[in-house]
Amino acid sequence: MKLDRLPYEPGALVDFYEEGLAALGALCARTWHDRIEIVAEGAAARLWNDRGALHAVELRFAPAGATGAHEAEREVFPGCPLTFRLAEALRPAPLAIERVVLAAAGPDARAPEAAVAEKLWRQQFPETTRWRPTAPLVPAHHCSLVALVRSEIQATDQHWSLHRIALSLPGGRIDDGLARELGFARVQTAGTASIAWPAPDPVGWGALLAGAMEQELADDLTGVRARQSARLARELNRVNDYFDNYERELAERAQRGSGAKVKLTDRLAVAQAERARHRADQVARHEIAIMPHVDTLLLVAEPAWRATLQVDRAHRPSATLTAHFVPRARRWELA
Amino acid sequence: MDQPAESSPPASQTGIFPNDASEVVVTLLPAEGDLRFDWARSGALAAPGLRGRLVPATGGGRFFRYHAMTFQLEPAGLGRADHCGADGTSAHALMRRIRAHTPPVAVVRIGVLAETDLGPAKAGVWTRLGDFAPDAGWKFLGRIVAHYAKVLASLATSGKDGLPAVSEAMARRALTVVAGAQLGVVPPRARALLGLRLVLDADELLARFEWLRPGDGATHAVGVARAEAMGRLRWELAVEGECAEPVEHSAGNNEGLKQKLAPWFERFPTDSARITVMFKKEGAGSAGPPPEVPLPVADGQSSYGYIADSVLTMVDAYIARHTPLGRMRARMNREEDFAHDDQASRLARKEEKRREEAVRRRETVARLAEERRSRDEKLAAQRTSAEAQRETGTRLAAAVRTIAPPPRAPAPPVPVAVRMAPLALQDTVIPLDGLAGFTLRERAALWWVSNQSDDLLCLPHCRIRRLDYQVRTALRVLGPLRGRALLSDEVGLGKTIEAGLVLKELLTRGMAKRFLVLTLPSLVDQWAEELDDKFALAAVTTNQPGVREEPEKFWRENPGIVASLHTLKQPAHLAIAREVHWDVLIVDEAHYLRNRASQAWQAVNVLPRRFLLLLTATPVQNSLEELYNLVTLLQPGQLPAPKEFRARYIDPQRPRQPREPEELRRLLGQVMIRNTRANSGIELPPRRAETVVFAPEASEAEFWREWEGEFRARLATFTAVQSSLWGRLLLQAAGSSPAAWRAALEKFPDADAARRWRERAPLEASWRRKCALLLPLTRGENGAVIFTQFLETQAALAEFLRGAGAATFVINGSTPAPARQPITEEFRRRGGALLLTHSGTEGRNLQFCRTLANFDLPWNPMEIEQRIGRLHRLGQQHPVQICNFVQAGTLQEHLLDVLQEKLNLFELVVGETGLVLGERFGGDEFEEEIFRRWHAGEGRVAEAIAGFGAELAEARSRHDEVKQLDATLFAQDFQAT
Repeated sequence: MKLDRLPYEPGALVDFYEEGLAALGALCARTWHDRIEIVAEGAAARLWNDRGALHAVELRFAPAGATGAHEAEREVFPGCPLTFRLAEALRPAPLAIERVVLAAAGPDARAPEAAVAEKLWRQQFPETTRWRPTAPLVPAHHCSLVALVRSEIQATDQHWSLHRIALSLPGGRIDDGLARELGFARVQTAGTASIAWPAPDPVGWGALLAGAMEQELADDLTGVRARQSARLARELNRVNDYFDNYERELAERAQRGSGAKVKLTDRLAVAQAERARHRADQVARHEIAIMPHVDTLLLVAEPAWRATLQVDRAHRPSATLTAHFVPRARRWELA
Repeated sequence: MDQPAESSPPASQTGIFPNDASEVVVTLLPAEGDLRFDWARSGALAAPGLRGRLVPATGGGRFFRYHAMTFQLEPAGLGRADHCGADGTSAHALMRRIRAHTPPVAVVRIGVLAETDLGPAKAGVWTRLGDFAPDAGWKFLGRIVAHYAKVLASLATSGKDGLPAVSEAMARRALTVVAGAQLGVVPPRARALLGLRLVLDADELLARFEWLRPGDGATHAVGVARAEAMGRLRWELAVEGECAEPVEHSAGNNEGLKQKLAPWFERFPTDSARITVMFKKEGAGSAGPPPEVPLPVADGQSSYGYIADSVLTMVDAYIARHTPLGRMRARMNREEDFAHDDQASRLARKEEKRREEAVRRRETVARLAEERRSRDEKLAAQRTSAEAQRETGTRLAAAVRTIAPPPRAPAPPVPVAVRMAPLALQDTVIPLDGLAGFTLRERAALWWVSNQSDDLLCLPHCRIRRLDYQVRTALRVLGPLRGRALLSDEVGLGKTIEAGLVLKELLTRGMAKRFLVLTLPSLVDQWAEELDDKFALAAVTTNQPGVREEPEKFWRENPGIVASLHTLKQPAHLAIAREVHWDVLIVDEAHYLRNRASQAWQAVNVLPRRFLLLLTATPVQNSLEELYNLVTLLQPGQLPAPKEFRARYIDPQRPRQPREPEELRRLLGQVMIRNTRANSGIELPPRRAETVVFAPEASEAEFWREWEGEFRARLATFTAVQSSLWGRLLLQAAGSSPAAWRAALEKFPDADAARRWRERAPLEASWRRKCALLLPLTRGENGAVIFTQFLETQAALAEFLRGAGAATFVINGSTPAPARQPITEEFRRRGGALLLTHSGTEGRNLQFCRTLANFDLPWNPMEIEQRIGRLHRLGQQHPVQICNFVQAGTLQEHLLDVLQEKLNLFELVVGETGLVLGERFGGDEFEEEIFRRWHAGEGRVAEAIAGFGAELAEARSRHDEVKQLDATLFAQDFQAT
């Protein structure tokens, strides 16, 4: 899920600074609608000095559209380094996997009716010919991986976007529903000891996230790719025109004198090598690089119903599967 | 009919030009597409009395339906412009009017001045077509003009107003054809014109265009315009058998159709004499192919206009045949059709008008036929010989192989790479009790992303004074120019800062990781210092130890490098550097790359790079080709191939003046930025240089004279290298202070002589007098910055000044970096004297001070300039006073004279000295030259140095000339707005 970028709005930024700096241990007091006074030490003070020495400052938040030079140490403005530093200070380093358990939607959660459960299964897996639970559904937890990913697309220019990606584990299905609803979910704090959390798998999760980001950025990439392709074609045409003409000039020159003909082959070879080099240079220059930067990883466990199922599917041998029915999504997830 | 005679009086009667011209010289200029008329006294062509030009008109005139020629007297305003149409009668009438309104002449000389060889006409040489008596000459001219107009008509495309439009390229091509015909050769351009076979198929409702190659008549391209439903046309094109994607297009009106046809005619230039047409009638079925006939266009009618009309008629026929409305309209009588069909009525009216016009023309032609016949008889002999020559030319043409461009590979798809860093995880055990932390981090990430701005993000990290034009330049380089630019600001406007801003921005945004700055050896350290001081960018340099020993490590492992071009050129270094992919490559003083055959150009050309900045204040010094080489390095293909560029833009007589300035400006504007002092608003206060000459005691003067003689004799016994080394050191030390001289003598190879000189030298009295001259300067407002070359001089001077009670501050190479700024601040607060050596000046911005003393004089003017640049820079509010201390009668005094009088060193903008001195005196060469002249002068130092002064004056004047040229060439056209 792509999150919309925030417009520069001093009021909202003041709130963020207050909250963020407080989280880093600084003392903040709002002295005016667009100012906060800060006394910082340690992690918070590193925004201003590398040593984290005590730092007191009154920060002023420039109004939107203010032009002219800004004082970077005590002023917040669009593109100012303090905002970057504060956001980076709040980012856990090294990246930590945090865990959270979501509470059930209601107090009297019940297992789905067998007929309903079967119908939903068949919707998801239409090739199923026979579906039969071998045991009653039991309460369990289904785990997903939620990541905050800053995406950087480097083409001729640079595009940044932020994505909240939810992947159902272990398969890695993109669960946009969870990503959307996470902000509204209630957290369960008691009775979480028995949850079987998946073992961290940096390589596998990295691959899943990279794949998910490719899908997530498909729309953005279409425009970027079209622009970049047009530019590349233009540049290559220019290079080709130039070398076509240059080679023709060489050939015409060779027509005039017999001595020149001797050199023609060499010169043409050099020109062709140069053309190939310049073409390669242009292709490399127009590469689109997608660089996902993972900021936060969260393992989410949510209430589900575990079932052991006997399933027959077309053209496949009969199998016994363990699956979770996730009431929030009204979906089956293979365990 | 033609424009009647002008109402203004003949130019010969206006008194604007002399009326005693005895000849008119008419020159066909194929490279410009113009005919130039020069009226002059016989043999005085160099100073013509009156000049005129006949050029293709840019649009339709009031009196002519088709494109016309325009004649104009120069300078504009001598008389109203006159025009002619595309037919012969009109051209002759124009010639008659010109003849009547200009001074009578006895001879009409007609010739060709071509830029490239054209048969017997050699490039750049005026070749005579003939000298004629007035009557015959003007008639002959009329024929040439009529021919020119007809060829133009055959090349013209349909313009916006429905009239044929002529581009400059077409005009050049047409006049080349005309001149070629007169010279008896078929010009190369004409050979390249294609034939066209047009099939108008009323049965299938399509128009088939088949372009035929000029030589073998084979099919080069086939285009089909096929009428489809709802008045749409489907356009299909196949070139050399390769089909392009068909395009559907609404025929709409005549205009839209012509726009669609124009690219085809532009792409396949066609000889109008070789257009044939086949009319295939409706229902003809398999009756066999219809006859192929020449395109039936009326005299003066555009071939392409005829074709466009035919295609439109075809669309109408489709509508009439296949749509209910069309069928209904077809049933209506003609009056009803007229009422309903504006398009058809317009076409009919147009056709009728065309017919009337053709009739009128035919009448005129008939009236003049008799006259033409007699004229033709007179020139029959000439024509016969011309035809013989043409035949020879055709045979030659056939011998030249036509180079067909190889088939082009299609553009490859844009590569897309996903680069995700491996996840390095730290596990946690206890589940969170809420999502507040996650939400806060998400907001932080969102603000991080939202804080990305289109402005320069690096500005808060740079220690520079923010100047709008520099910021604009950086944004333009990063935006529209996409990171490849030629920065050609005038000297002193901060090209280094602009390049630094671009570099810092790319690094800040993570768009670049590795950078390489290439500059002259003498500027390597200065660049590294600027990058560090102003942009907090650490870079290693080729001046640092280890470069020679471990070149692999140096080039491959350092992300930021400032290197000298000279080092890069060395094969061992270049072999490694060309294997590294440089994200940003900056070439300072890029005018050293002006020669494409030079090692420097070749070396820079092979370096793989993504972003490239070329910095030079003087992109053109001798010829526009230098500019061409720079732009080609930046973006090959931005300018045409070398020969074409020379032909189109360079006048061989004036290689610095562009021939098509507007077009060249347009092309350069896509790669070049040039800010000028006028647009930047940068104006520094003036400088005042003063020479303080002090006379030594008589005994001391005598000692120096003797010492120089002995010293010269001693040096003669040394090797050349030793001689130069010791000579320069001791002579400069002698000009600095007794302490420095004595310290230098300590290690002199001839110890006995050194001891004897030390013992004999009576120097102290003069030294104290020299120091005392400084005291008034230190008491002035903001104190004085005093530069010395030698540490011993600095120490002795500091001791003297402190003894005299002046506040004295010392910075030299041994002063720790963190201590330097506080010392500078203290000097700023208290005034007095700040004593600096060369290494102590690094990173010092001293624009708060306005007095500078050169206590001794380095022999390298670049070093003196650097001293001045510490004070005379942006932020300086007051005139800067420069005091140069020299001893009378010494080498230093003569050198200062030369630097001041011949080089104008103290008036040059900071940064300009290097440009004046150029490659000849780029590094140590200047000092070497001074020493060489001193050594060879045998005591006549003044004369020896004076000769050098003349050389410097010449260099200075050359630089002024180049500066003036660049200012004229580029004017205000390339500002970063």
